[in-house]
Amino acid sequence: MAEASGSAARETSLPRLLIVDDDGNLRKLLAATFSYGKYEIHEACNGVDAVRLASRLEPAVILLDVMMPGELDGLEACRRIKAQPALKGTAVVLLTALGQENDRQRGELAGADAYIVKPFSPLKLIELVDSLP
Amino acid sequence: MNMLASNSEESWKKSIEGADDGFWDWDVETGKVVHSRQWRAMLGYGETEIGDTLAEWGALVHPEDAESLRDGFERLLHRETEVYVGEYRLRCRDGQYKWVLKRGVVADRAADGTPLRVIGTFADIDRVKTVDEQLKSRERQLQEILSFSPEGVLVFSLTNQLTFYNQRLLGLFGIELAPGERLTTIAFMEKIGAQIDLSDASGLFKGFGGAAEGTLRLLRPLRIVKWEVRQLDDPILRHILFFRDVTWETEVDRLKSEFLATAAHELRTPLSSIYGFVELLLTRELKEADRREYLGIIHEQTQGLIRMLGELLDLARIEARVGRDFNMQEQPLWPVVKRVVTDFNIPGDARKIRVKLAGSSPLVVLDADKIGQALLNVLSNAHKYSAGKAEVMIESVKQKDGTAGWVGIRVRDCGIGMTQEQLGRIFERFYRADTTGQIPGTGLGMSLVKEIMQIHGGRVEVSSEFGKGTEVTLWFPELTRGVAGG
Repeated sequence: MAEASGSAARETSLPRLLIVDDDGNLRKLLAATFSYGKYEIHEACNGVDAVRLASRLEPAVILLDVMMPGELDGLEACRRIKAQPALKGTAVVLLTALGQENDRQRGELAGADAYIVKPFSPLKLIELVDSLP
Repeated sequence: MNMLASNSEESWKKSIEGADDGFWDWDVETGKVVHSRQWRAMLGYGETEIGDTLAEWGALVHPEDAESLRDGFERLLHRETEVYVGEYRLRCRDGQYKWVLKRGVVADRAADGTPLRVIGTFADIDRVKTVDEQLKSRERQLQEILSFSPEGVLVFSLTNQLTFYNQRLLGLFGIELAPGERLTTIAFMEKIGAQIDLSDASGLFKGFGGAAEGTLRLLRPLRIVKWEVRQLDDPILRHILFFRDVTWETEVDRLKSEFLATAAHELRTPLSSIYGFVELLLTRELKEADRREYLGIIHEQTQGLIRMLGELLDLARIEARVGRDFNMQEQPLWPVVKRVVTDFNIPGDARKIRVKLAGSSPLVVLDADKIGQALLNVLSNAHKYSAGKAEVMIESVKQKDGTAGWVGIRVRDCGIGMTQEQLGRIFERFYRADTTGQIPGTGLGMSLVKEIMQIHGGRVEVSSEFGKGTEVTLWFPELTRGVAGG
C-alpha cells in the first residue's frame, strides 16, 4: 500500500499533524476535522508508513489507529515512534475501536499521550489535541 | 476310638450352645450326622421331621451352594485339609433359605489316616449375610449410577486410599486398567502427574485442604478439566473429587468473546464516520461539494451497517436453527442459477455474466432462496474484486467421489485474486481482503455461503491466484435418480 499524503501536504511553517488509519473514510474525517488552518496535515494508512513518515516529518501530533492490518499495528508503531529521540516532542493520540480497560493500559504502556475510543466526537478530539502539551 | 474324652466333650458342647451356636458330629462310615438341638429349631423343623443322614441334610442345601459344599467335604476326606469351613444356604421348613456357617475338624481317623469322624460347630449367619448382600448390591447400584455420570468421580479415604472411582474418570485421564486391576492412589497420581500442567497441579493438591475448585490443563491430548473437592462427612471416606471436561465450553466461550470483540470493532468503524461527519455538518460552514461528499459517506456507511446487521441476523438464524427453516425441495439446479444471474446487477456496472451450464439440469435438494443468496454473494464478490476486468463466468462442473456424485456451480473471475493468507481466512467472520475501504462489504458474505452450503450437505471450494483471479465452486451432492430438463 503506497503512503498517502493528504491534500494539505504542501510545505508550510505550521505544526504537522499525521493521520494514520487504514480506513479511508476515517482518514477523510480526521483530515476534515483538523483542516481549519492550524495544522499541516499528512496521512498514512499503515504502521510502517506511519513510522517512516513520523521520522521524516517530525509532526507535533500523530493520530494513530490501533487495529491496522500489516506488519505493524498501532501499538507497535507507537512504541517505535516513542523510541526515537528526535520525536520527543511528538504527541501520539491512539484511536481505537476497542474500548476495554486493558486496551487503554496497553496504550499507556506503548507510550501514548492520549487514547480515544471510536466513535468519537471531532470537536472533542480537537479539544483533546489542543490540550496536549 | 474317640479322640476326645467324654467329659471334655460334654463341656465344649455346653460352651458352644451357650454361645448360641450348635455342634454337629458326622460318622463318615455310616453317613449319620448328629446335630445339636438348635439345628432343627433354627430351620423351623420339628424334632422328628428330618432324620440324621447326610443324604437327608444334603437335600436341603441350596442348589447353587451344593457344589462348593461337596468340594469342601471331599477335600477334608481326601486329607487335603484338616479343617472344613463353609457357608451355604439351607432350605427352612417355610421354604425360605437361610445362610449357615459350618466349621469342622477330623476327630478320628482309621489307621491309614482316612477320616472316620468329623465334628464341628454351626451358626446362623443369615442376618450378617443379608446385610452383606445388601451392601454389595448397593455398591453395584452406586457403581452403575455413577458410571452414567458425565463427571469423573474419585473418593479418597481418611488414609488417602483411593476407595472409589467411576469409568468416566478413567476415560478422562486416559487410564487403562487390566481386567480385575484396581486403581490405587499412587498409580492415579503417577498417571495424572505425567498428563497435567504442573503449575495447575499444586492447586489441586492444595484443594484437599477443604472444599475447593480449579482447572487442570491436560497435555495429551489438550483438554481443559474443571475439578471440585468436597469434604465428606463420613467415618471412613474423606474427600470426593469431581472432574468435568470443559474443553468444548471453554472453546465456545473464547470464540464468542472473540466474535463479540470483532463485531464491536466492525460496528464502531462505520459509526465513527457517521458520527464524525454528522458533527462536522452540524457545526461547520462547509462548501457544497464537501457537504455532498460527507452526506454520501454517511449514507454509504449506514447502508453498510444495515447490511451487516442483516447478515449477522441471517448467520445467527442459520446457526441457531441448523436449517430447520430451510424450505428444501427436490428441483433442477440450472433454473435457480439462471434466475440469480438475471436478477443480478450492480449499480453502474454494465458487465455481463457469461453462463455455461452443460446439458440438462441435475436434480438437487435445495432451498432456492437460500442458494440464490449464496450464489449472489459469490457473484457480487467476483464483480467487486475484478472491477474493470473481463467478465465473470459461471459454469457447471461435475465430480465423482467414489460412488457419490457431486454437481458444482463454479464462479470464475479474472480480478485481483487473493494471497495465500487471504485465502486461508476467507471464511473468517468479518474478514475483509480489502482493507482500503474502497470495496464495500461486511466480511460476513462467505461465512453465510459456507453455512448455507453445509446445511445442503454440500461444500464450498475456493482457489485463487494473487493478481489473476478467483474461482469459487458451490458443490452439491447429486441425486442418483436421474435428470430433468432445465
